Amino acid sequence: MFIGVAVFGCTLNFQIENTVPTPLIEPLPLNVSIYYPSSFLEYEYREERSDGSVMVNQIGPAQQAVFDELFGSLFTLVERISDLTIESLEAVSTDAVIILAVDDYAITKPRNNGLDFYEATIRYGLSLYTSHGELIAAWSVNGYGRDRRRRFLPFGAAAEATEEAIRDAATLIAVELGATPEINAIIRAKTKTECCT
Amino acid sequence: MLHLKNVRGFAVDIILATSACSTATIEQVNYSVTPNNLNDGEAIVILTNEKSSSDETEESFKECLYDELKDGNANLAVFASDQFRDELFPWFEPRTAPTSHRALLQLMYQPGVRQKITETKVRYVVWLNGDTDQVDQGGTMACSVTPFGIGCFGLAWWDKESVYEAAIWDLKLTQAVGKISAEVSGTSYLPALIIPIPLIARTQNTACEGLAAQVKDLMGISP
Repeated sequence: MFIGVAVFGCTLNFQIENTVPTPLIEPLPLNVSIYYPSSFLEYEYREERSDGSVMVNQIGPAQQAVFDELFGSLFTLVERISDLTIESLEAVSTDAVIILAVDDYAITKPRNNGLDFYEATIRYGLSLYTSHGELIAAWSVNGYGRDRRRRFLPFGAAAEATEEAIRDAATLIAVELGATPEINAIIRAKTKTECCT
Repeated sequence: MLHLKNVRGFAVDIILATSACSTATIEQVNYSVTPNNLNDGEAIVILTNEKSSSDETEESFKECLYDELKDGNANLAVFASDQFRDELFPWFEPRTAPTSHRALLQLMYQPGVRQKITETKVRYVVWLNGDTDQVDQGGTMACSVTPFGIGCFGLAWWDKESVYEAAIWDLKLTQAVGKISAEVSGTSYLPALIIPIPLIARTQNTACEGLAAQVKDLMGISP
């Protein structure tokens, strides 16, 4: 839910706050560590407008809430780590490490797309590492959202479109991550280790 | 043109209504062999198909359909669409929502999906598609301010086209119930001789009322 617009001087801030519901998906039998870089946690979109003011869209806190909920439901055990040192990885005894970053974000306005909608696109880079820091796989996850133009609240439409885009990316991860060969290989290896040790 | 291959039982109703300014065509295709009935405690949910980029159904149309379905049926249970989408996340999102009978069947095999649908008590899904567009406009009008007041002179007109489709699925029996389409076109006029007098063709409202009547008919809800 879009929660507010605040004007400070010539800067127009709007912060979005959305979460995703608990996915109706069986958790994957893995212990996973999640790392969000500071660029992800503090991600904001700035746009200088024709009247000289600056529009700032604060996305970081909202997307953190979304992916905390999502990953928390997708795996048996999830631990968030604040750094990527060997010590912190060893401390959580993890099967894999996921790093999520924002690669790209864009808002398209009705005057640019010729439609009656604000459109938002967001591209996440999702990387999967072993607990020893070796890269297993990296994927691009694209989310798309839109919201119908509102006559007196254009930023509300932009914020709603952004929330939809984040939710769309979360949907893609929820549905497809468990079907990737890389994740299945880790599950198979773990099952084999547990059965035969 | 209606394509009705592999449909055992069907009925097609065509209603043509021409008023002073608009023309409406409502068509109903009923796939069910047996009559459909909404039992006590069962609910419906109205969802919009948000996949296409240009013709997303307006929220106002969805609200109109909701009001029309509830009109005279105060006890009709209509499940909130956002809540339904949340309860079944991620399976009714724009990129994952089933678009065919086969996809619906496959979805029912996902862990927890059938049980969650049962918990919501939603029996029928009404999938809405379509929108209202202004397709043409013309005429001229001039207004001026004089010491004696404000006055306008001229004639403006615009054509609107409302095209909507509702596909109804039975989640309990996992089958398509039917499909209804509504096409309403109309011309609105704004003649002005000092005071403008709007003559509005309410195409969206007409489409809503026509669609709602046929949805009620398909689901065995009293009109």
